[in-house]
Amino acid sequence: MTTEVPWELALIRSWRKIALICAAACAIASAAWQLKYRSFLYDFVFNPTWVNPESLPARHALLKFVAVAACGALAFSVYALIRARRGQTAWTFHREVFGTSLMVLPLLSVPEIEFQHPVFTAVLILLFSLALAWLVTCEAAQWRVLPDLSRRQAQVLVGLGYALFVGVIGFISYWRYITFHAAVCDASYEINSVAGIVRHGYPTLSVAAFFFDGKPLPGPYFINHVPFADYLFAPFFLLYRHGSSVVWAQTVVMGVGTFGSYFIGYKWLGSRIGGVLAAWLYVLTPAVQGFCLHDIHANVVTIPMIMLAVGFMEIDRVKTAFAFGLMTAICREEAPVYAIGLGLYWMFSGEDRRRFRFGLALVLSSVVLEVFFSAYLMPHFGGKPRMDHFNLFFFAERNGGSLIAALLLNPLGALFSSTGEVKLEFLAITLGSVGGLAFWGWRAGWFIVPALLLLVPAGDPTFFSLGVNYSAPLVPAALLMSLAGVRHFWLRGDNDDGVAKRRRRIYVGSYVLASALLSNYLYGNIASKTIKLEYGQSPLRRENQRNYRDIIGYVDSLPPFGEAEKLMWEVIERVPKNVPVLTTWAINPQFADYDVALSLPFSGGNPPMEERVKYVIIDKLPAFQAATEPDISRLRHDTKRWKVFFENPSGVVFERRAE
Amino acid sequence: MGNSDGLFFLISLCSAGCRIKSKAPYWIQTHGGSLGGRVVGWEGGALLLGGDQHLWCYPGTWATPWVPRDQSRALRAIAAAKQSAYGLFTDGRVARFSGGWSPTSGGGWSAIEGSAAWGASELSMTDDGHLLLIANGKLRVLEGGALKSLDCDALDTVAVAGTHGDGAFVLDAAGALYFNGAGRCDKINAPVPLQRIAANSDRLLAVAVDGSVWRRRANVWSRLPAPSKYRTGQTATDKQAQDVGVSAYSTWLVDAEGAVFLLSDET
Repeated sequence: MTTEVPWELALIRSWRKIALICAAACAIASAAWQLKYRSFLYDFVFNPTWVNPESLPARHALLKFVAVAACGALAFSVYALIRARRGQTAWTFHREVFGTSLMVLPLLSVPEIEFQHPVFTAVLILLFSLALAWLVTCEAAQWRVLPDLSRRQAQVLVGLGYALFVGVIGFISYWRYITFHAAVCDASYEINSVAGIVRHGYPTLSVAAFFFDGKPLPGPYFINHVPFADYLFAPFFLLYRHGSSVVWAQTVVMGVGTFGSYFIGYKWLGSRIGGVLAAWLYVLTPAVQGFCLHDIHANVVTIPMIMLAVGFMEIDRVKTAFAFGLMTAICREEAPVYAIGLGLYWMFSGEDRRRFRFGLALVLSSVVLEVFFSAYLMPHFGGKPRMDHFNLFFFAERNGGSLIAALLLNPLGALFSSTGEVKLEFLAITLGSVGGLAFWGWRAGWFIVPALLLLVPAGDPTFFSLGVNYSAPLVPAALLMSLAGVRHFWLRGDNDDGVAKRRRRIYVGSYVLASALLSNYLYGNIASKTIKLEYGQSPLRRENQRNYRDIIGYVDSLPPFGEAEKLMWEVIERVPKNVPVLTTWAINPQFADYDVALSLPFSGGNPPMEERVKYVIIDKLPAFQAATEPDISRLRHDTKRWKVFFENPSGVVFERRAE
Repeated sequence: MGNSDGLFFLISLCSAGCRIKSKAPYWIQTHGGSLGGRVVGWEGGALLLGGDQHLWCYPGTWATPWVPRDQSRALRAIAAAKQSAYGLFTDGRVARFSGGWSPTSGGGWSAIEGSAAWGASELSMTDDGHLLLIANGKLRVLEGGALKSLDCDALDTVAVAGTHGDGAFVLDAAGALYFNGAGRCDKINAPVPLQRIAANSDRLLAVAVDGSVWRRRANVWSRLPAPSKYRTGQTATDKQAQDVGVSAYSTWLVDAEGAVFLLSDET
């Protein structure tokens, strides 16, 4: 027989529970209502001061939803009150908190919210992830042990993650290539470069003919960049001499960071399950996925290289780690800056003399390489590192010294320039994808160095757009600092008993995984809300569904490979292999594996483009970047020099007449 | 791009949860947020009679989708083919636009003497550069500086779309379609009453009175999808069409709200 406590005492003991029951009921009612009246949701939340007259019936309907939920809440509240009256004093709240957090999910499915309100979205992601992690932790309380994975299980799970990344992201990047959504900048540049490596032994460039006035084409790429990372793609092109092989190669190379992440997680979190968690965090990172869809770039390869370098160092394969450190440094002309961050991390992140020596060697090598690339190699070929991306300088001169001086001598100015809206949004998107744990991962803070040097002085919004290659410097820092943040909580409380440790690890693991999954849904491309298909300012993009700051064009579904595309490929395949060609913008990447593939009207240069080629290929695709009809008319009428070699409804090939 | 890739695609798609649009053509909204009422296709892309009654050109230069062609004249109607364009000023004069096709090149208007008295309300051009007009409700062609009547002279017309030579589709006030050419004026069966038309030698585009869009190729009518608009917070919503324009390889559309679209596939 139970003794009943007075009602007042019962109420005092149970009001928190009852309040949360009511909150959860209201939230679930709201979630159901949101799903039914999605079209009003955006204004309902983001224009709360405006009552759209058309939304009034929906607003009244919300009262009905809440009324139904209130009945349920009343029943649960009475039950809680009865239990309190019978003497219960200890309550669990995790289910009610999780129920309350469900309110945010329908809102996240509203079109464009994630790019219109990135900071707010990040807050919602983190709140929901916290609630979910709490629920999982409490519901898993009966698990006596958290078994680690076997080596085989870990291999399978990491392999699955890698396969998923390469399969999905590779497919989308391949799809955008075959449906003519790839762009000259920089699919053409890098495919041209890789083909040059295979044919000539060094990266070449022809589409930017304006670099090579009066000189033969293709010219050495070093006039524009030092893309040694392209050597990693060359074996793929050697096996299959088609531009699409380079598209796939980039995804394959970017994906290998999964293995580096596994090694890092395995060591930092002290278990294989931690390693698998880290590997999947890499797979789900929206920025890493996006880099594979923003055409092809050499600098983004630094990300998997850094992950592998750190990972191999952690498993004590120091020479391999150092080799990957050096590979990081030679990816592109600015890549030594990334490697300096890595070297500093090895030097100062622990009292390990051997790591210190390797770190020092990497820093010194990187400094030498940076000087070699920017002061010798590029100038030798007539180029120089680009400074026009940056706008923070100390002196009137726009050079590296002036830039570093601005960072060192005007730190408040640098800080102020880092707080622009677009930069904060980028930070929220990047850090939110790993639960914001980077703020607890200062152990890996040395990886911020490249971001400080390459992003803080930049003012161009494209540097702060998800997936755009310029934004790459922040990504290794975000990943590694977040993993260090996970480690901070994972290993915290060494003196705790096994139950407390297990609870904490389940909590951290499920929190960070939930954040990563939600961020992938919103900002990524694997089974995601939208596909981030095109990058570049209008009208460089073909699709125009949804935009982020007119830089990222994202779509609800991929464009079709329809009759126009099929016929366009028929045109492309009729052109003799590796002859000098001039093409329109939309189809240039598909010819970029040719030694000389110029683009109308982009390539320019002297002698004029048409005099440097044997074939001109002009598409009849929708006129977004440029209208192609005038070029077709012009060449059709220039019968002395050109004849139609092949034509169908998607394009036309002109052949130069024999002299 | 052979069929052997099919299985691979299927596996990738299943794993990705990727959605791919159907192969049917769809309308892609042009970049730059332009608004207008009338669109015509020409060699350089599209000419739009903007909401400001001035002429705009698409696609423009890098990152500037819409380029103003000429800001100095308010227009009521435009017509263009290949490199030529004509405009109907708000004062009733008809003028030829001179200038290169390039969106950045300059240009100017040369009014045709005496055109203010024509009572022109609509313009159209044929592929080979003839200017067709609706003058006082009748179809006319400009030849040697003077207007000449054509075979559909008996009709009171409200819209015209030139094809080649003296070939032209016209609409009467009831939305019935006729073809003027080869010495005859034939009624063309249309699936629905029409309000706007655009044509060239191989196809006719039409906006029905209910705002739907139709295409006639090789004497066969097919209904094109409605343009879908994507807005923040909203799923795609279909819009009615207001006007259509054609050039050799592109089809343009202005929706009821004035936004301009381009058809994804002309094949």
